[in-house]
Amino acid sequence: MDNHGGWMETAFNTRDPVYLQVVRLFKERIVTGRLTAGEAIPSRREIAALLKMNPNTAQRAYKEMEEQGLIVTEGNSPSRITRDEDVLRHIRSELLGEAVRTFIGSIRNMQVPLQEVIDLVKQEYEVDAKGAPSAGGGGA
Amino acid sequence: MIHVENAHKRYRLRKVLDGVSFTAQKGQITCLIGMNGAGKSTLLKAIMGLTPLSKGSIRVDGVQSSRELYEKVSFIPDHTAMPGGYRLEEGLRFMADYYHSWNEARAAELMTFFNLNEGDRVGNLSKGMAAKFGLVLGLAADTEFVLMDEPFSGIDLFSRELIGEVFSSRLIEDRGVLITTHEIDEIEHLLDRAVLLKDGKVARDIDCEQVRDEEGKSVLDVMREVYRT
Amino acid sequence: MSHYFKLLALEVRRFRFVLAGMMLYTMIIEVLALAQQINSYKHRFGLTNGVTDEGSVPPSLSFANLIINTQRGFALAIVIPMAVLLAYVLLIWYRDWLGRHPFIYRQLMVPGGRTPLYFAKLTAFLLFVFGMLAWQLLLVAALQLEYAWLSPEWMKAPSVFTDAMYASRVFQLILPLDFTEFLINYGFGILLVLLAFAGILFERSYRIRGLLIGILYLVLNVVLFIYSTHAFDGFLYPDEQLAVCLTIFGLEVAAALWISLKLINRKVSA
Repeated sequence: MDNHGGWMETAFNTRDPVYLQVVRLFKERIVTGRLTAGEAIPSRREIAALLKMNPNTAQRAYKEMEEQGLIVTEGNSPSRITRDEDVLRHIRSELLGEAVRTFIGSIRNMQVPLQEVIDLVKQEYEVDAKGAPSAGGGGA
Repeated sequence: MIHVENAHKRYRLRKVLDGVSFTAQKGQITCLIGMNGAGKSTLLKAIMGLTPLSKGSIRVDGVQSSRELYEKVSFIPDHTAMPGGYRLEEGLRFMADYYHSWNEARAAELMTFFNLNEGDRVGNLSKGMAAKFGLVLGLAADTEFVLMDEPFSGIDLFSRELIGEVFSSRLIEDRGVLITTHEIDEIEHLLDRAVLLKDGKVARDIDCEQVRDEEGKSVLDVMREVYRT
Repeated sequence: MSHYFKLLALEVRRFRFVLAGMMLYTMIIEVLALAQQINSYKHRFGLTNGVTDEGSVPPSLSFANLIINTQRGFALAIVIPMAVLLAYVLLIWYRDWLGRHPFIYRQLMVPGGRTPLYFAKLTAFLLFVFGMLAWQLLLVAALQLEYAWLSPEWMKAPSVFTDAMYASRVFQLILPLDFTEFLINYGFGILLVLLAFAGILFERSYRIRGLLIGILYLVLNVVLFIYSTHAFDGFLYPDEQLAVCLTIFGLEVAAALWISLKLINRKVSA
């Protein structure tokens, strides 16, 4: 069974349902490539032990992921990440959309013109892509 | 399941329990929450037959006062209930001597997992080690239910983390767990249900995930609401 | 049934050092007291070669008489263990209840009920008492050897073993030679233990109220029993008197057992 080293105990926040936080974790890993399409994932019990969570919650999370089409379980084999491109694309846009919404929400009150925002994003993106530490603060 | 029905208990002149009813299901982790003296310990002891109720009934799998109760339900009290002069292995041997449900292999496994030394004396254990030994005594038996009285009180962070690990492992799975605590920060995310006691009554009896889903509140938030007034 | 034996073994094991200590203590005190008594007798009559100034032979001192002279020594040897045992009537229960390690939880949660626990503690205690008794008897025999070994020829005189037993006032109390008296003393003692246990269980079930009830219960039973040994003096033949006494005794023992078992199984609070 793979990926045991990859799963680390996560700190769960206590106001959002834990099972949704787990689903979210899986989505992030799919989008960031740590989980690939068709890849087998740990069983409910294994994930519960790995993430230090209640096995019932893990159960709920897996059920939710199955319902959302994130994972597929065939018979007695281990569950796998879906290969469905539509679903994978949808997850990507969901997380991306969330990130953008959060960003926009956080700068809304600063009344920044769109072009400035785009330029800053471009600048930050390129710096980040080079792997250099961010210039911080930005220009005028 | 463990079903408590209309439990009443008077201690000295105070009504510690004033009509408490709730259910703890097998396969779930249920937490009894309350301020000090709220009757949480009393409820656990009443379930274990260690103290009588003034009124009300307690049924385990539908049966009251079963002879087999102690093979079905383990109890981890807040103080190590073994003589101070006993070595840990004598404590283990006591359990093996009297309980059919005692699983020696698992006991040995747990002693290793918790890094406990069989030759140490009960009286010389630190609070953290004593708590762990309590877990060994309670979890090594093949019981359906495990009752824990304040398993986290007064122990260091690392011991707590270890104990938290236990809650997410095979050891707890399939069993019913009923724990009492007044500090839920570290275990909130592990709970299935929470029963909040106030003034001898059940103030709220909640499914934790449901409350997060529907009310956007953590159990701690609910506690604040209940105990603030 | 096997739980009873295991619990009994546990109780005996926990007390083994105290028991051994008491036995050692009693032995040492009595041996020393006897030796000291012999020595002082030897010196009182002046010389070790048995001749006083007047040339007459000093009086002999039999073993039995020697014991009569050693009252305080024997009292000391016996009273301390008695006190320990008296304390242990209470401690055998309370040691497990009070303190940081309430072992009573485990004892009360043994599968199969608490009746074996009760009888284990009861019989363990009685074993300790009768064990000390047997030890004391052995010691008297051993002391006789000591007497034979330590005392000079002129001092030696025969005595009947039973005279030695009756020589000490304390012995008269704890080892009466009359069988009926033995039965009454020890029957009464056992009854007292049963009543004490009932009192303890009352206290552990109802705390202060329970303590008062327990004491009252004990007093009533004792009064009734003592009364029954002397009641109807003159109205009944001795055999009938004994029958009355035994009946009351039987009833009280049965009642104490019944109440104790009821309390420990249903009412006791840990």
